[in-house]
Formats: sequence, C-alpha cells, structure tokens
Amino acid sequence: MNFLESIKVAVNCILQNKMRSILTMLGIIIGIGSVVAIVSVMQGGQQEMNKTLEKFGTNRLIIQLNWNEWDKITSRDYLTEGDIQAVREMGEDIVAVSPLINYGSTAKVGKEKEDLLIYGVSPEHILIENIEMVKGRFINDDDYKSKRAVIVIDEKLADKLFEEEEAVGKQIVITAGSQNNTVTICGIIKAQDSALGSIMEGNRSTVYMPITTVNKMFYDDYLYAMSVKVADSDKIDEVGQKIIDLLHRRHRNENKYIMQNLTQAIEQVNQFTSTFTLIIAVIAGISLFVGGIGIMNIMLVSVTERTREIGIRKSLGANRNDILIQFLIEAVIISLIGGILGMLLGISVAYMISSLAKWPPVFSIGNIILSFAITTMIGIIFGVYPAYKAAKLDPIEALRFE
Amino acid sequence: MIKTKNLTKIYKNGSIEVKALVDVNLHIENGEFVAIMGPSGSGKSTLMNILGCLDRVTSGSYVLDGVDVSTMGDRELARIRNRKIGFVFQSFNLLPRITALHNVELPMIYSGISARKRRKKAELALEKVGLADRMHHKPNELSGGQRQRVAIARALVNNPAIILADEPTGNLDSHSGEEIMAIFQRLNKEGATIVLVTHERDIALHTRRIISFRDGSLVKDEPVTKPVDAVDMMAKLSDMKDKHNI
Repeated sequence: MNFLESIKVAVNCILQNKMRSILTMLGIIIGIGSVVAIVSVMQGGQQEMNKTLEKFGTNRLIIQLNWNEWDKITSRDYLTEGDIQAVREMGEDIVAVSPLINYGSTAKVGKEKEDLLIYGVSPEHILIENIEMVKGRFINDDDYKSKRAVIVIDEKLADKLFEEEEAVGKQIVITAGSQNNTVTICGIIKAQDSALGSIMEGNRSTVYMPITTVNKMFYDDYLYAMSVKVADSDKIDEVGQKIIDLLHRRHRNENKYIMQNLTQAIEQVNQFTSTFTLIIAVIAGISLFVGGIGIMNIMLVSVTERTREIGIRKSLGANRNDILIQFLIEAVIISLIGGILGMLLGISVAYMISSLAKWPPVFSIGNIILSFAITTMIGIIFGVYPAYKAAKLDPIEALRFE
Repeated sequence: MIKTKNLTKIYKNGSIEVKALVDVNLHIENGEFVAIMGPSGSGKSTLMNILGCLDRVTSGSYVLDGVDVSTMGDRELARIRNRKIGFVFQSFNLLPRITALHNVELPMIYSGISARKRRKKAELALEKVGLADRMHHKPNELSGGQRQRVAIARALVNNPAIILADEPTGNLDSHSGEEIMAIFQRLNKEGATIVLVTHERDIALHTRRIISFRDGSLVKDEPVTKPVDAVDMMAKLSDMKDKHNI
C-alpha cells in the first residue's frame, strides 16, 4: 500500500481518538520533554562556564594563604614582595605574576552610586587576565610605585556613571570603610558578560587599582594572594605545587598555602554534570519505556477494535506487509507526535529554568535529531508486536468479528 | 474461468476432523451468473471462501482464470483477491469512517493505482450503480440498499474476473433486494461473471444456473430456464404496496 495513504489512515485514526492518543503519548512527552529541558539548560550552563573561564584567564592560578586553617596562620606566613619576585624568577614555566587582593566598595559620582569589587593588582596583571582595553591605559609601574589614586573601570560602569560623557580623566569617589577617597579613571576595559561571573561577583562591577594604593586606602600592608599565569595549561597543577613548595621553603613553614585554579572547579562541575545527565537519562529512559508500553497497549486495543477493518482490507487485496506497515506507521506517528509535543514542552521548561538561572539554554540540532530518532525507534520497537498481530490475522475470522 | 478438481476441505479441530467439502468438481465459464444454494452446514460458505482465495484447499486443485491458485502463498493470494475477485458481503463490510467514494477506492490503493486515476475510476463505478449523488456520504448516511450498491461498486472497480456475492440480499428488504439483483443482472448482461451464494430459492431464481450443495458435496446442477427479471419484480412489488396502502 501507498506510504502516504498509510500516513493518512493513521492520522485520521489518531484524530478520531484524540484523548486516548494524548494520554498514550504522555510517557513520551514527559520523557523527551525532560531530556530536552535538562540537556539544553546544562549545555547553556557549560557555555556560560567557558565564558567565565575565558574571563578568568586560561593558564591562570591563584596561590593564597590556606584560610581553612586560619587559626594557625601567623604574620610570618604572609606573602611578601620578595615572594612575588622569587616566583617570577622560577623559570620559563611562569609567564607573569601579580599580587592580588580584593575589597567590596561603592563608587559615587554626584548622586549615582554603584557597588564595586575592587581588585588590587600590579601592572603585570594585564598579562594574566584576559583584559581588553577600550580607552586610556591599564595601571602602570609609576602608579604602582607612587601609590597613585587611579582606577580602571569597565564600559558598563562608565556608561552608568557618565552616560555619553568621556569617562577617562574623570574623578569618582570610592568608599573604604567609613572614608571616602577620590580616584581618577585612567582607563576603560571591555565589559565581559557572564552570568556565572555575575553570580560570583554579586552583580558588582569589577574595577582594578594598584595594590599599593588599595593597601594604603584600606590600611593593610600584607599580601594574602598572588595570581600567576603559567606557560602550559597541562602543567598547571605541577607548576602550582612547585610554587607552593618554594613559598614553604622561603617561609620555613608547611601547609600554609593552597592553589586555586578553574580547571579543578571545571572538573568538579563536569563530574556533577555527567552524574546529573546520567540520572536524567535513566529517568527519561524509564519514562520512554513506560511510554512505549503505553503505545503497545493502545495499538493492541486498536488492532482488536479494527479486526473487521483488517479483514475487509485483506479481502480487498491487502497483504501482510500492507497491514503491518499501516499499524507500524500509526505507532510511529503517535510516538513522533509525542516526541514533538515533548520537545515543545522541554523547550518552554528550559526557558523557564533559564530565566531563573540567568543563562540562556542551548538547543542543538543534534539533540533534536536524536530526539526524533529515539521516538521513531520507540514507535517501531513497541509497535511491531501489535502490527505483527494485525498482519497475521486470518481474513475469514477477521471478517466474522463483531 | 473457474475450474475445480476433486476440491476437498477438511477442518481439524483437535482430533475431530470436519469434512466441509468433499471432491467438488465445478466448472463455471466466463459470463455465467450462478447461484450456489444449500442449507447451513452444506459447505457453501467454505466454497465461497476458497473460491475467493481467502482460504486454501486441503486437497484437489482450483484454477481461476487459467491460473492454479491452490498452491499459492499468502502474498500471491492477496494479489489474486485484489486483481481477480470482487467481494459483495451480506453485511456490506464498508469501512464506516470514510466516504462511499473512498471505500470504492480501497482496492485500488492496494493495486498501486495513482490517486487521480483511483478517484476517477471510483466515481465511474459509483455512477454505474446509480450513486453518483451519494459519493461523499459516509456509510451510516446511506440506506442498506445504497450501502450494498457501494459494495458492488467496490467489487467492480478493479475489473475482476469474477464477482463473489455472499447472501448479498440477506440484510435487505425485498424491494432493496430486487434492486441489488437488478444491478447484478445488468452487470451480467454486460459480461460480468457472477457467483452468488444464497439459501433463498427466490433469489437464486434470478440467476441462470443453480448449483446445490448438501453435506459438503455438490448434489445438483441445474440451469434456470426462465430467470426472474428483477426489474419486473420491483414493479410487481410496488403494485402490491400501492394496493395495500389503498
């Protein structure tokens, strides 16, 4: 029989039993829907992480005091300028080193107020993080040595504070504890959008100042952390450990420094993601299996209901294959419609989740094709038995069926 | 056209054997109009199923239109049913959810005829049975007689070698029955070969030859010297009706 004709018959039959068909599809809808929703949100999250990683700077690690044992830390454990220099001289593994500190603060211009995250760094920092200058300059050696009150802000903050006006050279007031300090904007960097980053930084604008100036403003002379760029990302852990060993030797202590790099965090997230994906896959698999059973069940009912129709078709010249294909197509179409509805459900759920999570879902064509393939397979696998049962009906018996 | 030799059909039900047909030798020529008669259990339904290629012989041979079909497999039998046989059943056996036109198109779907040609041929067949104005009605919007006419159109549409009608008037009132017989008589005059199974002698007398069965055997084969003309019968029936009404 004509393929198109089989599709027409199947669609008609499904339309005549709308409620029953929808209920049958429910397992497929939920199964495909949950997979599409979760996978697209996770892929969105992963994309977001890559952005954050890029902003953080690849090949970058942070060495800091081991605050997990803060009660054992004494003033002789704090980092020094000498430590920074020693790390810089370690060899070709090291590209750049900068001391690092950060404080929360507020910037004021006239009546405008913005929350800030101030990073105190050295001029070398521009080599470590992926910073793109838009206007002006990054902090330089003179700023650093003379503890100048200069600041580098990003485009977004410049827009907020000064709108259309030229921001470089303007002054803003930033708070340090209860004191106000007037600083001059020396440069503007490109703003980097990253939902994960904004969660980490609490929607504050990131700004950079010489660490010497920041320490003066906040009355703190100690160094707690340094940011290091290594030459080879594969050796990042090894180099990090070397630095820690060096610091321990220099300070004649142990277990006082730890390293932080994003690859560890990413590994953790990836592990979480794959575990989560596995759980979802199992749930979806069960749901799709139950959905498949539902399809088989309803197809068996359909075959019984239409025994006489099968007899009539056979008497008119339909052979086993014609009947088999007709019922198989019906099962596949039920499954496919379920898959399409599931995909629509999944996409809308993904958008809902994403609006809470603040990153956009990613829908890949590969996943959509995969969903179609899976639903088609389910239709065939669970439709074949009822269709076979229909195909092998004896026409005489079938014609007698009331 | 139809030629059976020692045709035998035995049903096995556990250890019990039922001989439904025993050594039937039947010969029906092209263009004949034959009635097969017999009480229930005489084997006439079994014969009908075998002649219609819905069932297979236990032994003996059955040659239809020059082809021995007694050794054929399922697939080939389906093809024979599609191309060479047109069925008309007592209970019409139309698909309820599709229109008369679509019902008539069904056999052609299985012969792979294009949609446009199918439609055209189906329309012609329906015109032939006088239902040109009812094509787009569904079976439940038609009377019994009209439904049977749709079934006849469906049986005709693939130009079969024979039309097999199993008690075609059994579910109809006498007037509609005569209408159906009139169509059969006209088709036969135009050259169609028709085999009609019935247990009513009145109906059988419309044909030109009556073959009687009893206990699975052919017991009598007689020509009908003066077949009843269905058109005359219809006239008589309406006369009678008029008289009763007055």
